[in-house]
Amino acid sequence: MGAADAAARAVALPEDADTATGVADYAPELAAYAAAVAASLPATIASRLTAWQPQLVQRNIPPAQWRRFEPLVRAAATCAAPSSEPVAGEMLSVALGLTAFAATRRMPLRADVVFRATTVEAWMRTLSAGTRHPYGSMANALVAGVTAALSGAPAPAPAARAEGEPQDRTDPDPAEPLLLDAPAPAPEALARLALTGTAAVEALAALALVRARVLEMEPAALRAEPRTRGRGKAIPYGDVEVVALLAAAAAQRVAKRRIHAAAAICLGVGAGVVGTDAASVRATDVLEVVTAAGAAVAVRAGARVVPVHAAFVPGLRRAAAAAGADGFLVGGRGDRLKRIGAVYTGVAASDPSLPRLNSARLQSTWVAMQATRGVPFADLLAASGWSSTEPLDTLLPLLPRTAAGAAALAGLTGLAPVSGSVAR
Amino acid sequence: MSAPAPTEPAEPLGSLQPTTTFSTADLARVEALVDDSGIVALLEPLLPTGGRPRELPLRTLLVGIALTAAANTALYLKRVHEVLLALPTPARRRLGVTRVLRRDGASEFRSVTLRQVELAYSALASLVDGSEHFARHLPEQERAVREQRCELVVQLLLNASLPGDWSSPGHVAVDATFIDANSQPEHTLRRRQIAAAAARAVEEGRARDLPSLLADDNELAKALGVPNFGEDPDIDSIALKRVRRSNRRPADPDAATIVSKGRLRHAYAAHLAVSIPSEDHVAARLAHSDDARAARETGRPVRVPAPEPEPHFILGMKLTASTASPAATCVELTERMAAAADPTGAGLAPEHAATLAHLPAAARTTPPGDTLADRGYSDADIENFHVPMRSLGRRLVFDLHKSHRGLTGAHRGALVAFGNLYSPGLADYPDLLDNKGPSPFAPWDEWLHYFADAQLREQFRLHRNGRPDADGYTRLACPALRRGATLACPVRNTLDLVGSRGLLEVFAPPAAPRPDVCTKRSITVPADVTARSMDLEWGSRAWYDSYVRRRPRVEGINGILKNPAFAALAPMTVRVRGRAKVGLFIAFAAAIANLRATDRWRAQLQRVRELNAAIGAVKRSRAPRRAATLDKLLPARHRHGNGPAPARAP
Repeated sequence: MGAADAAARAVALPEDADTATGVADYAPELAAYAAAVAASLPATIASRLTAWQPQLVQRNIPPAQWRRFEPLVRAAATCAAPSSEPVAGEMLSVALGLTAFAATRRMPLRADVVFRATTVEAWMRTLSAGTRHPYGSMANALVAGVTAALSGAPAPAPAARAEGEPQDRTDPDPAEPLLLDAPAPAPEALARLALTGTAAVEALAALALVRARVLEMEPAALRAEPRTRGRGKAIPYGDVEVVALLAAAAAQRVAKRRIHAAAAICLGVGAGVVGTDAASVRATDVLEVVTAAGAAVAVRAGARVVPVHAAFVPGLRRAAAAAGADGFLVGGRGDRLKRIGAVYTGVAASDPSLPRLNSARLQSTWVAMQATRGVPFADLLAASGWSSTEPLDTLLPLLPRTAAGAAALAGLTGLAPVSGSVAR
Repeated sequence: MSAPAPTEPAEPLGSLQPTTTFSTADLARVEALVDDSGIVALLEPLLPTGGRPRELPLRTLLVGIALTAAANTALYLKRVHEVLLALPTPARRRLGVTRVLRRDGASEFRSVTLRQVELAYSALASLVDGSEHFARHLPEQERAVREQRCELVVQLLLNASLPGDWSSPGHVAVDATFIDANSQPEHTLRRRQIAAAAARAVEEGRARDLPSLLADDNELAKALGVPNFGEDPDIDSIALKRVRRSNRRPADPDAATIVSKGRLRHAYAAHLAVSIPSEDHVAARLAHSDDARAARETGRPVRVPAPEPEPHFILGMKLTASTASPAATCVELTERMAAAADPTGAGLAPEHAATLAHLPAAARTTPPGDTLADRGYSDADIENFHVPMRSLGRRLVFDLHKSHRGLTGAHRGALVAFGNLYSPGLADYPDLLDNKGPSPFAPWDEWLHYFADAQLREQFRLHRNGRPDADGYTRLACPALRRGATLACPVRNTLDLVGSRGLLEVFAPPAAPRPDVCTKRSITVPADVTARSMDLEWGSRAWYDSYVRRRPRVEGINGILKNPAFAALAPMTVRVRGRAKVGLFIAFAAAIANLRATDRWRAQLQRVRELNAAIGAVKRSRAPRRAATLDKLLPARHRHGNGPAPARAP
């Protein structure tokens, strides 16, 4: 069932024949902002935004009612600046659904009232679990766009790239420079996440290597979620993605949710503890250990104790302090599955352009990072809690080849090692 | 030599041809009605005595009136006389309609005359006639006694017409129906004002052509400056013009002239209180009909039994002029029904009053329950209807006039709308404050729209903390308080409930200084503010099921009374004049309608009991849980359950 369909099915509104209204009647600021955004969008997207028509019959929306909603729906979707033509269609559909929902609640059809975080939250309750996530992400993007328009923020400048250059990257050119959809984290964001100084440098450097390998093997892996969907669920996150996910965790609206989300990411990327294992970790499971390299922090997940990468220790310490004596690092209501699920959906809902937070990808990132540092497979298996090497299948092509390994192999065969340790 | 036995004359009734005849059983039933009511015992001692013995007994006269009402014919005394004479001979003789006189050794049959019926009826009517017109020669106190007596008679008669094995659940619907008086319409007050103004204008030389001026009231009113002059119902009507020019007083001054349905009528208003089922009964009936519909569609037997039918009985009646206040009449009617028949004030001797107290009809009362009334009643001032009705223990369910829908005021920051108090956040939702109402015969889709509106609006309604105190003051709390919140408001810090519970949100709460409703946990509201408030939200589904599904029963009774096929109050059939005389006839017509309703109810009860017995006898088997068994997935010819597949035709 579509979003608009679900909302409009509740009660058919009286059909007012001549109630067509302009955008200016909903919010004058919205009209100017939407016009500026439309000018900055590629022509294909802009034409999609103006030419899209809903399936009124299936959605049980009378034509007169659509005429009432149309200016507001189109303006809101334009303000959200969809990245591609299909996204624009989806965005319009979601905007219509949200507007129809607001109309069934007899809310005044004003942009600031309809495209409001609380209205989206209420609408989410009426959707099925399957549609809640994608529609919620888009609705949040709509809210962000409309809020920016109404807050008097300057409209984005007209297209910076060359006129006619397609923004749609559904079929990318292999030679095209890779760009992540997530914006690069600002230094302030890194500092807010306690990723400063050597910790940040070390983390980013370690992850950058992984990212380089990933890009080499799977150019589309670090692209936006719709393009990587189905191409490999356990592709490790890139460095910028991890930082962007941490930034998204820091952008959660509730303080506890911020701590829980950061803890889940730190446990996953920093210690390879994910899913329900991560939800089971309590404050008492964060241990101070002494290793050969010196004092470190480890986390106990079930029967295993995993050292935590130094870059992610501050996040865990903070979560442990907030959890209290014996609380869960990833706290909240419900069982372990619900708690970790709430974190994943919360992070995803805050920024729809981010890749989805995923247990397998988190753990792959940790494994790739450790393997790159030369941790033997046997130790890696023991620390990860895997009972077989099957999860490594997707990772093996991504791991770098080292000179030591090549020398060892050559020693077995009697051949001289090949120069260039990472040659394919 | 003994006198010859009296024999029936060949044509004892002369040339009179009865239009209606009654069986012995019908007659016995009507006699039982008169006897059970105790009216004879009440009024007989009050009839004038000392002169020649009365030829027509009071009981017989009442039986004759009841039979006339039962005949569904015109209600006038000539018909009463005809009906009495049309009775079988033994009945006539037993009732005293026909007497045997021995004169000169011969027997002579003598029946009562029309004149005797008229005299007896006048004597009866004078006992119960407190009209300010027909009994104006009497002192006011005596008139009040007669009014009391009239109401007592009507109540006793209606109580006696109810079956003894039925007790009222206490829920009634009240409505008025106009009964045309036996009189032409009269000048209305407004038209008399015009006539007076026109006369003055002629006298002062401002107008000389009075007839032409009188031809159009609107123009004349404009010219003469008569304020608030309404539209004529039919400005081209010759009859209306004739009435307008006439200066005659009406023949029946107890009635009043009104404009009804586009024409002038000189009429009485009969306010009827009709028994209606409870809300639970309605819910049970809906559940049964829903199940029956589902059973028809799926071919399964009906599982939900039908509730036993609730009869359509007239529990109370009061006749007034058509222009009298409906609300005050309803209060008086309710007051009378709530108490046992009280002979105090009816001018009875103590021994007769004591006799009356032992009658079952006198002891029957209507227990506290719902009163359903339309806008004709609920639009009244609160001190005339809402407050006294509630003080009588009635729960009011009513419709709201357009002027009381939508936003009507504010009280300590709360919005007053639809008779209730709401959070000020409702002002952010102008669609929910629309004062439109459903159109007549509104389709279901239109009702669904109002249900949705009411459901949303109800979330803004202030929560009631307990019942009103002795002074009628009620404690009402903000609906956005977290405990039991039905609304999310930033002032109460409950905005998170929008997402978690789907509550509506207050977008723009009142600015500082915030009103009491936003700062206090609850406010104390006097009764005059909450008088038009119902526990059910106007326009909601619950209100619809309670009001719209139950109140039309009283319209059904109006229709039955005025349909010549069922009762005697078809338009222009009442041929007597004066509130007492007309009231007596209408009370008998209502009592007869109750007797017939009893028959229908018993027949329905029998049918429903048989239906429920059949429903109970059906084997209760649950629906199969396994819908996609292997047998069903197989082609028909391979199924085991169907036996061998039939051979195909070549």
